[in-house]
Amino acid sequence: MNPAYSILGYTVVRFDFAYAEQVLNLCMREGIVYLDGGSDGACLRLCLRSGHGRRLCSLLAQANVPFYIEKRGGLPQLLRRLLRRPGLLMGALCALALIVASECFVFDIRVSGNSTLTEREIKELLSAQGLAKGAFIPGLDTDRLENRVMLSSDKIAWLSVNVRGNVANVELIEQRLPEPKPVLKPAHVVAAHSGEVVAVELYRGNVLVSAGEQVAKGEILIAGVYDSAATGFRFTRAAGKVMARTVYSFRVEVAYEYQKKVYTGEAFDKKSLNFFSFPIKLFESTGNCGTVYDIIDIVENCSPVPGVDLPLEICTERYLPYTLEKAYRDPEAALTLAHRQLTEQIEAALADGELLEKHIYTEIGESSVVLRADVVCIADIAAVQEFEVDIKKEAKG
Amino acid sequence: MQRRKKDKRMGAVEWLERRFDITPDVFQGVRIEICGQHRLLVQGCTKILKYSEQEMLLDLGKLRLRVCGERLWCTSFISGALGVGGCIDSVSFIEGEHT
Repeated sequence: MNPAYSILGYTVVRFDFAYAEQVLNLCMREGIVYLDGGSDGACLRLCLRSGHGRRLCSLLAQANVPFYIEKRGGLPQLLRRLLRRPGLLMGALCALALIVASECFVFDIRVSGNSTLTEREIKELLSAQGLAKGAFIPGLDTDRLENRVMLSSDKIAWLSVNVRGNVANVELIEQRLPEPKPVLKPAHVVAAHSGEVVAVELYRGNVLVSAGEQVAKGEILIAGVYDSAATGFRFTRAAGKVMARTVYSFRVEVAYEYQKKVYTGEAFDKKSLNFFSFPIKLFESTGNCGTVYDIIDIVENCSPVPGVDLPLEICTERYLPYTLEKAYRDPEAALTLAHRQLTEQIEAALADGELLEKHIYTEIGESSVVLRADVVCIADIAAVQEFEVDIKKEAKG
Repeated sequence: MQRRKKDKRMGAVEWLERRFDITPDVFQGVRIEICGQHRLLVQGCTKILKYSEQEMLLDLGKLRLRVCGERLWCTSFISGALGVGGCIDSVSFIEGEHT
């Protein structure tokens, strides 16, 4: 089919072979152009432009030539068919209007350059100054917006907003503030556990113990005070590592009976549609769906293209009700669990230490399993203990 | 006598065409082009006298043209220009009234 005929519309007229000369001569005389003909033995077909088709039909009717319109096609015919369906037409018009209108609104905000501030925090700051999904682009004054956002937050050193198409690209540099120095008070290093000192690693302060010495819990190992006949007392924040042979005791108890979370298997969804920044609730209140439940928030963007977000999101709040039921584990399982917990505790306590001996005592009771462990090890027993100094009093003294 | 006169007149036209190198369609108003066996273009056709898939008889004014073949069909007929498609076996001129 000729593309011009498809665009302008065409009519296929069919008539008997006996009238072929008459019809073709008529076409020539009246200047009626036909493009594609053909015959099936008994009939002849002519394909004409819509206007010529109408003229030929009226002429044939005047000349009493029987004919049959086999087909009408092309774009005008299609439009005529569409006009008979106002819903489709309205949909097309709405789509067109949306496409035109969509160029004026922000579809997506992309933030880059943030490290400590979250994207959500930045979007909230921007939203407070008028830049959010659905913001009217011609009404945006980006220079003013940038200044206002920078003034509203101390954490932003520089901010740039570039609107390209429907996407607002926000670049920022965060303020790098120096970390506040902690106020240090004078302190002693004391023993966190009793034991026999193996080695002392002094960083600052006055060492009061030496290798081979027995120390009790709470005893000062490195003093934060220097006593000098020439300068008097001088205070410092003692620091150091005191490795000592000590005994750590651990206790783990695992009961046979425990609470288990059992989901009922039901799930209640509360859906809402986020169009730009306007949430549209799609659910009705269902009341209390259970006493206890887990909530899962699912946000799905309706974009058909991955990586390109549209301002249309389906938010689902999924409620999963559960009940807490009593459950029982056998002693063997309880013992395994207790051992695992004990190992974790020992590993956490002896991060820098050296394990020498380990004695584990197991008590399998009627309702629980208890594990006790005495661990002989070489570990750092130093603990910082701050103290207050009354400077005036000291000066008088 | 009439026959002789006609032959003379035709001779004069032919002589003019040859003498001045004029293409015959200038005087006769007819031009026929055959492209292969499946396409025929006739300029100067005033009327289709007979139309069927095996034979077409065309009125060219003083002449008549018979086109014989298989599956013949008129592809176009505008301003005296007629296109014939199909499998063309023969093209011949006929003098006198069509019967």
